[in-house]
Amino acid sequence: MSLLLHILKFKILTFFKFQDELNFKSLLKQLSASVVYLLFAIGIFFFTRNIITYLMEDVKIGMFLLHRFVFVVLFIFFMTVNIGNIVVSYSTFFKTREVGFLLTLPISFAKIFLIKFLDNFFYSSSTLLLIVSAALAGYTSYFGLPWYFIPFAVVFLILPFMFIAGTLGAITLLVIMRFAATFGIKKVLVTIASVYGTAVILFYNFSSPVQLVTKVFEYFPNINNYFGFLESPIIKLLPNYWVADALYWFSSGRFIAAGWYIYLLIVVSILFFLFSLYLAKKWFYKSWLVFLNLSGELSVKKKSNGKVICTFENKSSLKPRREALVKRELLLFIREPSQWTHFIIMLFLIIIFILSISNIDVMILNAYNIYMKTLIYLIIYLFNVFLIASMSLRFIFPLVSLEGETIWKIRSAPLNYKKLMLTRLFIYFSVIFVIGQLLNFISNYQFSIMLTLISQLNTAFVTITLVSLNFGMGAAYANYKEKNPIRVASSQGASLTFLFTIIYLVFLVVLLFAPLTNYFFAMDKRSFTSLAQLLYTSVVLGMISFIVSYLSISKGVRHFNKDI
Amino acid sequence: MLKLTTLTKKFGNFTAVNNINLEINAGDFFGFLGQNGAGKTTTIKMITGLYAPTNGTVHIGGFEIQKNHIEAKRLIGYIPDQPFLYEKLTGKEFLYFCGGLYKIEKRKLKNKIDETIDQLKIDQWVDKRTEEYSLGMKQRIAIASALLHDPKLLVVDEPMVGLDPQSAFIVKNILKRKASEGVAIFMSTHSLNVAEEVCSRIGIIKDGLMIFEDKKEVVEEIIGIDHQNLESLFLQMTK
Repeated sequence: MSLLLHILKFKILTFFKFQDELNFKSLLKQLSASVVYLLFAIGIFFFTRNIITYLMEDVKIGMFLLHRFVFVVLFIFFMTVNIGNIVVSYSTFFKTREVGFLLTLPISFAKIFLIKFLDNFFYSSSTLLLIVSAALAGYTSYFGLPWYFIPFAVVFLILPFMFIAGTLGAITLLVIMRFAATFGIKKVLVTIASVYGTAVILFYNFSSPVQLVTKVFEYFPNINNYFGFLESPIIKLLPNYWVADALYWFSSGRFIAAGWYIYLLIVVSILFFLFSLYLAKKWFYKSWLVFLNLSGELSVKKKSNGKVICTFENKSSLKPRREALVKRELLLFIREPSQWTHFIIMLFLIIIFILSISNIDVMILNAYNIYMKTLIYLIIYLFNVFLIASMSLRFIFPLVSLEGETIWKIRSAPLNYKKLMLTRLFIYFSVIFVIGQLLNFISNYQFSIMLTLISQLNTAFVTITLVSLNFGMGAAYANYKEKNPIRVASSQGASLTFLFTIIYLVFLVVLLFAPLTNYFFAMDKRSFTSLAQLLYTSVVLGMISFIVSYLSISKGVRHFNKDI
Repeated sequence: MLKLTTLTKKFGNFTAVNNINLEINAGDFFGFLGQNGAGKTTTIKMITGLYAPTNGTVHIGGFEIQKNHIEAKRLIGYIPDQPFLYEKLTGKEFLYFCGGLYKIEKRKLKNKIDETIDQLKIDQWVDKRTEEYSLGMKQRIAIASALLHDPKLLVVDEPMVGLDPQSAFIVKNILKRKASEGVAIFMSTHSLNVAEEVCSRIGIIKDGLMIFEDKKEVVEEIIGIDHQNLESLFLQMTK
């Protein structure tokens, strides 16, 4: 135990040391970052309070359905923390040099796992925790709960909830690595992906939100009552159900009923934690060896079979410099497991998203009022934008940093560095642009052709904005020493970019809400649907996109000339 | 102190280390030579527990590293070729951190750190953050951290990389003194002149196989017959 505390003490000491030398510029940078975080938290606070006010007082969904909405949001949150922890843990547990260093010292494997798990959990979940805390403050304010409910709920509801998601992520990773040794990494990854896909589909089947809304509204106007009896008992086993239900009982003033869920959350999080430690004791070192063997085997296979997808030796129709650049980009991407595995996970999420929106037109037509129709459309559109934002953050933000320590070669070569970086940006932008357009088309084609076209245009503007923002911020916060793209994409600069992205999403909601509501109003009354308002919105979005992109790219380009 | 028995490491079909048998006793200074990719670092990683052998065992002070890794690692001081240091910590903080990992009592640790700083002559920059260090400075901090707990076995991978002549001289002397105090040293190096100067035993590895292993006197005899120095002997053996 003392050894563990000793290591944690030094980890905390490292964490609290300033990133740069203590001078006016670095202080100003830290202060600005804190102000942005604070403003963002305030924004989330008001956004949550207004959304709850809107749902309760305009849409009139009632207490029970409101908390079922929270239940679905918490499921997405759980999956984000869980999958995020699997991906980041792979780098933290196996790829960092610190683990190699700790393994040469007299420290047990379970302790190394614990240190890296905590490191990973707090590193990758801190921004999410800030978002949830601010949202919880908005919730507390709407229901008139005392201020101390916020820290109470964070400590006893949210942290255990996130901890369950995080430990489950770490456990899943250990299982993947352990079984990869026996069955091969591809088979294990396909199995795990199928399990996750099935879990998502089962979740929506068992929770069936549309059916629940219909059933609850049969009891109108008593929609604030508790309708737990209408739900499948299976979903009552989920941690997001416990948190949502606890919040329902707290806001209804029934604290004892909420206490049971707190007890469940804490006990289950402790059990998961102990199980992860047990597995780590048994499998952490074996997993580390599997990781090493996988890397070793891969390099040998490449040498022996000689079949490489793209080689520099092959003839190319591209100009020499462009060929060197494109081939390097492709080779580095396919040879870095954290790049292609993360890309495949995102594609997998996109497929689930596409499957789940296959009946969007039916959902919207069945919605019992116009605001609900707008809300459903906007949620789906925002999810689409969120996927574009995630891809930009994950693959565009680290672009400049990933030049890595080989940047000396590029910077000392007789070429236009700015042009080179913009070419790299264009390669990744093209991929994200195509995915964004495809996603948008799939979620819109059931509506009128004009709405689809306007939406395609808006998505194009949004993609340009988000890609440029991530590129500029990635260049401003470039860290050439960090080889791990996942660590770059979860650094302080990346968190700040994520916050700007969320602000942009809120702005999108504000901008699109009124024109979309009017559009659905007209559609509902079967009258002539005016698209002029939606077109004006696109013009505004295009102008904003141009300004943000110009500022971001020029900020990024300015940083290319910085000393390295 | 160190016993390697039929030590083998395979990566898929590729055998990186092939059936190595070796015993190093207290006070031995073993120089481990080989070309790039011969299997030196893989052997070292198996000795320090970073890799598990495909076959064979590593015993340190009687403890098998795969079975009793904590007991075995307590006896080792490992100096890697590219040392890992926490960049935001100063050199001295890093030394306190490492001392704590071996549960050295605080007052004893302070004295030991002061003594090591003095020996390695790093007092001028030991209070700066390690992110500001050159490779040679990092290497000296890694050496200092490996000496704090008075290890019985020092495993050293390329100790002279990045060191200026003065630093190299200091490090050589410290390693020689440790060997004379009874510490077993396993040193992998490309610096043949250093190996010739400080080692009491020499081993040469080629394509994973230990092709030569004997005392320095025997090496000197062989050199005396038809070679100018260790370099020409090494080049001929690894041809």
